[in-house]
Amino acid sequence: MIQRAIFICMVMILLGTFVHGQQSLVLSIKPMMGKEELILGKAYIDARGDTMNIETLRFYLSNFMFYSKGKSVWQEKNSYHLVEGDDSAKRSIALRIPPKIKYDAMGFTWGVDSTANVSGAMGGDLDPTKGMYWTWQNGYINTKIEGTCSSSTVAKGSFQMHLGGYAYPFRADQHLLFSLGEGNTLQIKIQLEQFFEQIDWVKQNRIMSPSNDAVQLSEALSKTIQVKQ
Amino acid sequence: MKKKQIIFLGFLGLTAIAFKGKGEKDIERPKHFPEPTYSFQNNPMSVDKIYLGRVLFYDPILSRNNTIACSNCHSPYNAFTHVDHALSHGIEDREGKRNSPALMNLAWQPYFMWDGAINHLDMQSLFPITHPDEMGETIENVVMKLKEKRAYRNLFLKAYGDSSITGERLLKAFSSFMVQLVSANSKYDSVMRKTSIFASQEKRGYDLFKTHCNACHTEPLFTNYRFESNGLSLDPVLKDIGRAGISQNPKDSFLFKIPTLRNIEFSYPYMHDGRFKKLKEVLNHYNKDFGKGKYGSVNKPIQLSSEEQVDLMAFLLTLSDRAFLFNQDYAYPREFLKEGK
Repeated sequence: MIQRAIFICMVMILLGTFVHGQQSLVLSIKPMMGKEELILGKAYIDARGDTMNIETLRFYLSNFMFYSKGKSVWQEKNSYHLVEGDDSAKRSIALRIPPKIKYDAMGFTWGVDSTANVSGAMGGDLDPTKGMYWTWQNGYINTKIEGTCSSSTVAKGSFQMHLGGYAYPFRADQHLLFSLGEGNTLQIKIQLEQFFEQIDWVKQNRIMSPSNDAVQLSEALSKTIQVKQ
Repeated sequence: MKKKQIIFLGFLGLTAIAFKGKGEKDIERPKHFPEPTYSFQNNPMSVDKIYLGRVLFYDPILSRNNTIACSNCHSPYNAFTHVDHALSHGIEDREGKRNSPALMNLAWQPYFMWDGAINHLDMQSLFPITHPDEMGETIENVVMKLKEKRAYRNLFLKAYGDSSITGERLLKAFSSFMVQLVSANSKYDSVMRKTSIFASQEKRGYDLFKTHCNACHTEPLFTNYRFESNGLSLDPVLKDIGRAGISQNPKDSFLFKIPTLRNIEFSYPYMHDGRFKKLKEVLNHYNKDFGKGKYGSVNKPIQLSSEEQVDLMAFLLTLSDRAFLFNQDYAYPREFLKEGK
């Protein structure tokens, strides 16, 4: 009898938590090279004629917030998502928004906000074992892009961009806002080719710490982001 | 059925409360200290979690070749610093560029490292684990090595309620142990608690201390946790520019974190690069040379007479806390590391 009561309790709690009236909004994250979706390890020739090969692409999207007529109506709790360029499952984010919530705009952060950067050890996608935390100093790496480029002047034409920084004057997280219509899927496209066009490969092939370059490139990257329904 | 559910949920609630209380452990909070700054709400302490942190602190499994533990450079009998080593050495005898700091009263410390590179105790351990001259390992690999050991899976089970091992859990266990390292039982502390009094020489030294040292080495923690110039010339080999290396602000050049003076008798050698072996040399520096060099930005030499220097030294020795140094709760967990694996 007690076992049955436990079972019923558990089922009710689970139903209440997970099923009761959730609408899901699925975000597909699409890093693009021109009109093609990026494939890691594939050689691309960009608009400047450089041969590009992206080996690593990882970044955080966080603090998803929804608005109606300029007012915040819903925000995801503990909203930190590590997007992995080489894993299609990690290029998708499902947000569970209560159905009564109506919205006309969505905001999110490219990167990790300063609060999470000063709050000690965190779990989930923010766990330091994910390889996105600097260890010689504080802070999350918001964006990691590594690969080779025929224009990069360093050994073997390789480049490493670890863009991050949470404190003034090198705060690199970017806040973005997009207006939305109805629908339960969204595409977030990152036009990497446009981003690469803005890089001075001679000077900017190694960025490994919070700096003016990191802030400038983070802004440039975030400006290539488009949201499509 | 509904009534039974309510009874059952009530029972669940009571069990949860009872379980929460089990094994909980706070740190010592001396009355003459301010409130600690560590975020206890995100990392509730328990006896088992503290024990896990203690075992990890003494286990060389954290280093790439399993030879160096935290305790190698932070030995308990030397106020958790590296005795006789100006610069600490890590795996394969690689030498770092700074003197390992003494560890105590970390729950009150707002940032870590000589240059304040680390802003939270939880994240501090990542630095030595991953630095090529210290443990040369990755946190991912440490987690993998621990997962392979049943004894560790059991310790994580006890500490967290299940045996999953993550970076977050590892770091929080470390913090749980490290915040226990409270040094508040020196003669100075007993005087503050009015259970003892200073000898006349110590009292004279205390008065000199308050006049000349307390602005930076502020009571009762004996640091104000700010960055200051220690007035030392730049070591041409180490080329350590201090805080500016992190802040990238030239104004912060040659500024270092002000260290605590507690247990100073045992934490030799001194200064950020360990260049002074004896406390007397440190005192000489601040007494005569301080402020004269290119890099001294604060004040001027304190210019004490030799008698006053002896008095000041007598006071500094009242900051030694033998109960802290020989506390068996912090000691090598022989029963686990010798037999547990």
